[in-house]
Amino acid sequence: MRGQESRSVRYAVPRRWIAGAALALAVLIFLLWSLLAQGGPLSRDRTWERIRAEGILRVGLDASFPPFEMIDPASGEIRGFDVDLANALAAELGVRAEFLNIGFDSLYDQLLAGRYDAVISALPVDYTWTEDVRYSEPYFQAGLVLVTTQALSSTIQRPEDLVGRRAAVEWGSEGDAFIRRLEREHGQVEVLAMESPAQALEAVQAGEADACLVDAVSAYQALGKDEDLTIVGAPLTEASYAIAVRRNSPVLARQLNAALTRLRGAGFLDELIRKWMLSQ
Amino acid sequence: MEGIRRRRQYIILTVIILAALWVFGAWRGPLITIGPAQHVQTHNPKMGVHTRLTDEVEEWKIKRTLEMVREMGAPWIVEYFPWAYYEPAKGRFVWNHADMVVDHARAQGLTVIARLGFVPDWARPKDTTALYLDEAGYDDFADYVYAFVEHFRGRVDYIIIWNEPNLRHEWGNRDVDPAGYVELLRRAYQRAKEANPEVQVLAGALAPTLAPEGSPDGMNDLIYLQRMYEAGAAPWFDILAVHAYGWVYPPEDPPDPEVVNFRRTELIREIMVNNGDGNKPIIITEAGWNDHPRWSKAVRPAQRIAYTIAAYEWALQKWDWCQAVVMWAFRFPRPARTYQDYFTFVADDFYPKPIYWEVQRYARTGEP
Repeated sequence: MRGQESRSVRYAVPRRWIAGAALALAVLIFLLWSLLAQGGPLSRDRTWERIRAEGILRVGLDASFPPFEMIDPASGEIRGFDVDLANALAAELGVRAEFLNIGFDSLYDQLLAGRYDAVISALPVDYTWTEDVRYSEPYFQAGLVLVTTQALSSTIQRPEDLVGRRAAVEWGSEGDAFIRRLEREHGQVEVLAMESPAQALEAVQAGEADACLVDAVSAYQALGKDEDLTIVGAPLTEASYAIAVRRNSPVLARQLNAALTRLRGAGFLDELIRKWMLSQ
Repeated sequence: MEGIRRRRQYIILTVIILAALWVFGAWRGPLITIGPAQHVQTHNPKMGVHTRLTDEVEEWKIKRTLEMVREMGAPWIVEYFPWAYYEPAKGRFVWNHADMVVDHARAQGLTVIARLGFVPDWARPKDTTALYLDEAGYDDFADYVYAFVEHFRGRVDYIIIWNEPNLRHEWGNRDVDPAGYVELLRRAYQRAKEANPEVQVLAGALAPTLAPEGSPDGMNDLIYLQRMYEAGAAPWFDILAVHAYGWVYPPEDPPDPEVVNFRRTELIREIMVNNGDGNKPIIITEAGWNDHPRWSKAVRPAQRIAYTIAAYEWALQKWDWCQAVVMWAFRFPRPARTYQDYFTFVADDFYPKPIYWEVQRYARTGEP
């Protein structure tokens, strides 16, 4: 018995060493997995490799949403804000863009099926899709904005300032829903329910309403025609348009984000707003 | 020994805690109650909405949905009761969820029209879709209809047999077959009446489609209905269910065989009359307009409101043969993430869209 005890003492490894080694191994495996797994810094991005090899960025869009994308009736070509943006992004990446016109409801499915590399189609970020796709940084905010005249902009600076005043909205729209909630929470507004955002803006121009709640695109388009109108404050709701790529395109996503940052810094996105909204 | 004793103490303590929790839970009783019987107040008793409670798990959400339907002023609902959910094995019925939906609906003063379909695995060949049912399974389906009608006797007075059988997809990805559908309808009708002679059997609504003869997608609804009559459908339904989507057209847009619009219903009616079935009513079990900003068949939100209210009013004023107009769809349990979300009246989080308030105003005032 004595002899057995001495043998067991001689070969025993302290338990804490075993635990420490197991922990270190687990950390090592986790780090390796993080580096190599889809999206990790060392993971492969076959889409990006193909884009570089072929020199073509394939872009899916639904060309029925002016001014972001539409078919030019004269030439039959797809034009718009997103087309210019895609071409500029492709140039930043050292490739050229090719476009595929797809119905809006199929844009994600066709992206996941690999028919194109990215969706650039006034695509609102939808967080329920983030397990399937990667979104770029937003490049346009299309949410609801408060529009009034230059003269009233000192007194109407936020939605609550509309209480007791006249406000126009498109009947049934997000602006309509917003103003109904505002009334419940803050007090009565004299609401003019119009048939379209354009009519709501016209009501402000004509002095029939003190302000209106419309989407940012409609607002920009009206501002381009009437310098007396102004947008006050930040967008009231979020509708961020972004580029979507597949989850297994991490390098492409990073490259697009870097290119977007460069284009934004150079004032290109503002230029697109001027070209496609303010001066249309 | 000490370790064993301690482990035993832990086990006893755990059992006591679990028992206490169970007793506490049982003592608290159900969290949601059916509540007192309510009544729908409306100027238009033909108003209805299609609910989607089939996949709604939580009882409070079922109750809240149906309360909001009542508060909007719609006395009719259509709800789907999938065969596969309620008869998981031949002859074994599980009605808990269906009971919950029906009892809450009745408490809110709503009339339930039950759509029956969706084939369980055991009733169809392997590798077929849940919309596939060949003649060998017709009697199994008729048995389900019998069980449903018997179980809900006095609570559900209207059932719809199948849905849009003129579409290939809805007919189990097979060529559509009006005579085959009529045979299914006949067997279901006979069993339904055995269970409750008072129940009203609706022939399944056809999808409004201009698909030409021989199309791989389906058959023009007007042609399909005529074929149904030729196959002897008339004795096997009490009411015809109709789908009447307006797409981009206002509700008053005139009927035209080459156009899918709300008043296509009048062409359906004409076929019924021509086949000597003019004494039977129609119930529109799906209709509506969509205000998705990007969908080609959508309208502006303002148009959607105006058209929806005008359609309810049209049926009230002009269609005495139409018992109800049920709009698609009141609310989804979760976002569909497609244009379908723009058919709803209430968001999945119960936030009412402006159309909800406007329809409610119409129901309360009678002013379109």
